[in-house]
Amino acid sequence: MSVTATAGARTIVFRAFSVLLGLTFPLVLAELVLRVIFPAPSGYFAMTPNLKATFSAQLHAKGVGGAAVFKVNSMGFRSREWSTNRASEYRIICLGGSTTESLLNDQDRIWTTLLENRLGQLPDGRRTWVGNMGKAGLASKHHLVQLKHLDLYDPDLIVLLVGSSDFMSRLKQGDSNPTLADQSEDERTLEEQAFAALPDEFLWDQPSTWYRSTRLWRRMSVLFGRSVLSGSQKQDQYGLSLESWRAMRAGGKRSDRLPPLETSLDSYERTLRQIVSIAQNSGAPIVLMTQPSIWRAGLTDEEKGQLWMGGVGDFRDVPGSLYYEPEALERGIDAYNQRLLQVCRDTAAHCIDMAKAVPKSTDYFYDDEHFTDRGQAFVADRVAEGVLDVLRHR
Amino acid sequence: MNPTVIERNIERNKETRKARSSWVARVTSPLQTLLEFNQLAIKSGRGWWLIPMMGTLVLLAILLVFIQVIEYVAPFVYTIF
Repeated sequence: MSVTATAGARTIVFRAFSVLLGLTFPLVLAELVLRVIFPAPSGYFAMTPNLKATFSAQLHAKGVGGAAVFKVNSMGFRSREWSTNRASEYRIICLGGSTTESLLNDQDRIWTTLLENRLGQLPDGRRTWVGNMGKAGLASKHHLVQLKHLDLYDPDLIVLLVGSSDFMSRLKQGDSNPTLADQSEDERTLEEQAFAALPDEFLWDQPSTWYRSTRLWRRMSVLFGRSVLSGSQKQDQYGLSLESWRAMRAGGKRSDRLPPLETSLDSYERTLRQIVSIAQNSGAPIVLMTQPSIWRAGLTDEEKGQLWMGGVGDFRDVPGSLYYEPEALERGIDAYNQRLLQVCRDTAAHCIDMAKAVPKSTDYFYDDEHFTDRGQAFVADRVAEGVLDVLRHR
Repeated sequence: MNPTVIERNIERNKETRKARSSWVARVTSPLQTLLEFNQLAIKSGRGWWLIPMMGTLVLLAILLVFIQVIEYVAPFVYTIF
């Protein structure tokens, strides 16, 4: 009897082991296949290298020309390829969120390309190269992480247009938890958000979350991140997403009282100081820019109809979400801009108060803060003046 | 001596038949493998432990193909973190 029981138990253990092996083996195999077929990049790329797309959003983004080409070079910048002769080139790298990325504007009409054209050849004979590393949604904490890997690109100057994503991220949290903005995120998560392609991590680098370092997990995150969880976050070729986001705002609730911003502002200021410190230690001067926007009191109904930002929670998914009035949004972004100006005053960072310079008109913005082609040219002129000023003072 | 039209047609027909049979073989060979797997795993009762492995592999293959398509169709996402 006991012999039969032992044999039965052995069979159960053997079968359980077999099923476990049957489930584990394909996962290990898939991981190995993924690593062989898609080798990890050796560097950190802000955008998918060699990506090319064309946008025709002129109907929904007034002031933006049609057939807008979006072309990423082999190094992951929305720019032309840089020179193989490093000494002949003055490299400027522009960091920022969507207002630097300028997704819907043609490559030849975005402020980073125009900046490169404006600066052309410098008095010392070097030709300017401007690399656009902007990516929608990136905030100061992401730029801090990006800066830690910028030595790979050996920049001569760093330009940062920042503030909007930090503000939007804080508003998204609403009134419920004002300290949420100050909660730290692990660096790997920020890296994965800040870069489209980055080197693999060893499984033992993050023992508690080792599975997140597997290629299988990262690919699956892409699948669920892009197709399931973030349907409303996709930006389409024709700018139709803008219309649906505007419709959500039009049907939302309104508030002119902002949530407490102090914790988020303190965190923002601390991050900016760290950014300036890293840039200065690397030997590259940094130019910080305040975030311009169209928000102000007295916007017409037509101008208000162009807005879609400044909501609470998943406002692009949830009908009836709470949105802040343009006057409140102006006060909020101004608070972030003032912190940036304070950092410039306290450190040796150069500053361009772009928020003050860009007229708050639909001639310059096609929504809350994204530039029309005219706005892009305006920004490029101001940045060129700022960069020349930096060069004169060196 | 040059082949006649009839001889040329016969030759062409043979080549077509050969090509068609290899095409059929190509399509049916995976099915053959599945049948063999069915015999081993289910009918003989010895290879049942392979079923979860095969299931997971098939599922992974489908998901990975899907991910590749998604990646290139929708790389432009505006996330507010």
